[in-house]
Amino acid sequence: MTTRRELLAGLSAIAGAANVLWRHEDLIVYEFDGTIEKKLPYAVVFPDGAEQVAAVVRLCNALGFAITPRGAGTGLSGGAVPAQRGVVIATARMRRILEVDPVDRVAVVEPGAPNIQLTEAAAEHGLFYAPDPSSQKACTIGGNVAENAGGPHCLALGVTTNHVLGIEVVTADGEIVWLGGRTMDAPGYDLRGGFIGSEGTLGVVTKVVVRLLPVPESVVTLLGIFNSVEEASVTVGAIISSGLIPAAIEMMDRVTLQAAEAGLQCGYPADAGAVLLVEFDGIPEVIESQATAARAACFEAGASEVRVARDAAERERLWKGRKGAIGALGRIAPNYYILDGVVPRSRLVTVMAGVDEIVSRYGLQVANVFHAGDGNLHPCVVFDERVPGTLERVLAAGAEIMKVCVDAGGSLTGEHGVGYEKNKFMPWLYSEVDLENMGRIRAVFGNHGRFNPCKLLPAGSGCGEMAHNDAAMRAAGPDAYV
Amino acid sequence: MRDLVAAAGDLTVVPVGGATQLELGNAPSGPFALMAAGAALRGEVQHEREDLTAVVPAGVTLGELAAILAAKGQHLPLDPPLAETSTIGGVMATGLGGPMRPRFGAPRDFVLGMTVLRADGELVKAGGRVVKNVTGYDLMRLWCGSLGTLGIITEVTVRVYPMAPAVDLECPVASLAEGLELVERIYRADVRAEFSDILAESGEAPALVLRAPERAVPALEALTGPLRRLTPGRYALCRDAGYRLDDVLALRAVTTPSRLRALATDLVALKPSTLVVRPLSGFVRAAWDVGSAPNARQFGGALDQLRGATAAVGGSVVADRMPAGFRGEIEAWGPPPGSFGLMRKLKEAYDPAGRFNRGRYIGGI
Repeated sequence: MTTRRELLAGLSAIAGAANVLWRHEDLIVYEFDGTIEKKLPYAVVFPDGAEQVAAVVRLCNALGFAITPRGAGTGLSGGAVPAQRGVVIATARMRRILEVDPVDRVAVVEPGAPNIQLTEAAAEHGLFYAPDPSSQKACTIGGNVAENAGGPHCLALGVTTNHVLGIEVVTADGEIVWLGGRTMDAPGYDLRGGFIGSEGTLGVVTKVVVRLLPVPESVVTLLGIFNSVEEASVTVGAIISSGLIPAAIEMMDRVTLQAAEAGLQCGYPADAGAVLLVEFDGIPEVIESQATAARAACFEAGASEVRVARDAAERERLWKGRKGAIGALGRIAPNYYILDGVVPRSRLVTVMAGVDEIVSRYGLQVANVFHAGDGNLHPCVVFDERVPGTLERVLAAGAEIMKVCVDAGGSLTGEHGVGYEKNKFMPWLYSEVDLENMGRIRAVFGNHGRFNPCKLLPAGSGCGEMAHNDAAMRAAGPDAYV
Repeated sequence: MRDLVAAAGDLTVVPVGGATQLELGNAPSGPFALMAAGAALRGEVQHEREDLTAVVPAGVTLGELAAILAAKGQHLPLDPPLAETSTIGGVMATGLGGPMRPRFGAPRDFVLGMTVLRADGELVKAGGRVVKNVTGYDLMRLWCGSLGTLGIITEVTVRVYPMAPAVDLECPVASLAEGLELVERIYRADVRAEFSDILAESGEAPALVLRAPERAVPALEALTGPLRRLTPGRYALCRDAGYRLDDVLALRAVTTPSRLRALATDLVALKPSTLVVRPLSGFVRAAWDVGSAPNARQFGGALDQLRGATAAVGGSVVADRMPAGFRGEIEAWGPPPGSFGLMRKLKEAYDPAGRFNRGRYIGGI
């Protein structure tokens, strides 16, 4: 048997004692992410690069400790929660932007660099990095790769996997290897594509080569103001099926609007039932006609008003409300639980009605703010954890909402990941054979059960200690996987 | 399908979709049986216009799919070589893109979900039917471009796009360098051409060939000078060159944009009958007809040199068409990357006995 003392000595020998945390008061910062579940690791280590990461991985494998990689801890599916304790490998010391190459339009970054820093570094060359999660001021590129993160502007431009050319990873068995590189479409299996979105279960990303895009020549941002979510949903369908693909179409409902306006003063109409934020970019000759068509679609569906941002400052303000909306919900209640279902766009209206029915049946309040163009819903249940029994009701409602999405032909997650939160729901979508087939990739990368355990796929023994998750499962009823 | 695989016994199964890329890769190692996967996997396309998705049985050709989508004003802007007769399963398995690759993505980028027949006879799926989805491991990206070595694709769910009115245009350019420069300026000016290739046929001046929305034409002409309508057939040439019947020898190469000019120039020195440069994906394809093809020794030497020059940035040079006599001496894929050990493990995880396309893929997988 290995003692914790031996583990700490080994970690300190690799990364230096100053880069290993082990006191209880230090560790509690690393027991959770953006979700509800918590688990205390035995130690947190901060390696400075691939060599140290590989050494830590090999040490933990040899001593039999679980490993959980961690970026900024903003994840929304429990991906960075150390489900079987063990060691958290935090990427915070690997945060340099190593290179921005304006000719090849690529950047090479370390995994701990925050998403926004990359775009800031690219901006001086007239370039930007496309995936823009709402947490982009904090979340890291490494975390984005692990979760295949999206964001409002993914409607036209795609998610993380569409913008990453290559990654250097330390595999779950401690090998350092490049997957992909600086060019597109190399022959051979697309291991890069297989690794992105694997939620930290195949290894730790230690370098990322991303594509950068030219900053759009011009942008038009519209704010369509509606009496109801239904009117706004109909507009989304009309815009998409008219042949337009905007850069973004975001929806906010009344609850969200009021909280965002109260907290951020972004100029939203507080009395509206819903708004759509619709954006087009490109050359003025093309986007002006697109904006005209989208405006007409809004009015046709019953919009009371359509505003056009007059300048960059107004555009910035409209987006500030959208990106800060979830945080602003704190004005309504101290806790929130954000879901991430996807449904076919044609089912938006029906599914939104289903969500309303579920939350009112549980006596809860929901705020909706989401990527309407993709059919990617983010119902956000606001509540007060201190009221006994509330959390259980919230999780139960969440599970039912996920089921409604799946039943409508949708999926469990569009961009937040399956993690620890929804792995038990996977059998709603995939057969046992499908899941076993997916699981084989773990062994390919050398994960034999101790690398970010209990995530993504339905978990085995040793993962059932998180009571909250079980409550959700009970609520999900007889269809739930057991 | 299962029966066909079982009937092959110990022979390596070589799945055939539209039979447009049978020459791709190495010859199978050992005895093999061609399997008519395309014919076995026909069926109805479920096109959801409002959702911009379609569920397509793998044996449906892109030509058939295009007609179904066009009836509702949509299309799949994926234009691999010989698209009309290529099956969607085959296109995903080979992973070859076309002129619209820089703007809309490689074949894998269109895939929302996929079902695959594994070598042991199990049907397995990944992904789903919605346009944004991170539920589960993204096995679709491993299956795309794997040449059927991990499983035979049986059904593909794709994202489709509204058809936007656009015009095909061209203008002559003085040199490849000028063409590259123009494509760069058009891109930086944010004029979103649906494709922009440079096409050079032996004995003719190179031309810039592109497609753009009508409203963008004045902005384009401000950069390029007067453009004329593209002669019909020239687009197909950009798409198909290298894979036509009289292309006896062809290669494709990918490098970084900054090295593309040097790579293309090296290729010009080999006097291909057709050269297509796709600047925005760092891509070049060269094709030779019987009259222009170098011999195996010359071609092999040139490949080695080109592969050496692109290796530093992780580029690649693949020989897609070779006369039978070249195959003994020349490796089609080039040296495998540093991650080849993982590739081999992946193959072992999904097809341990090497039942599918044994020996045809990179590194002899």
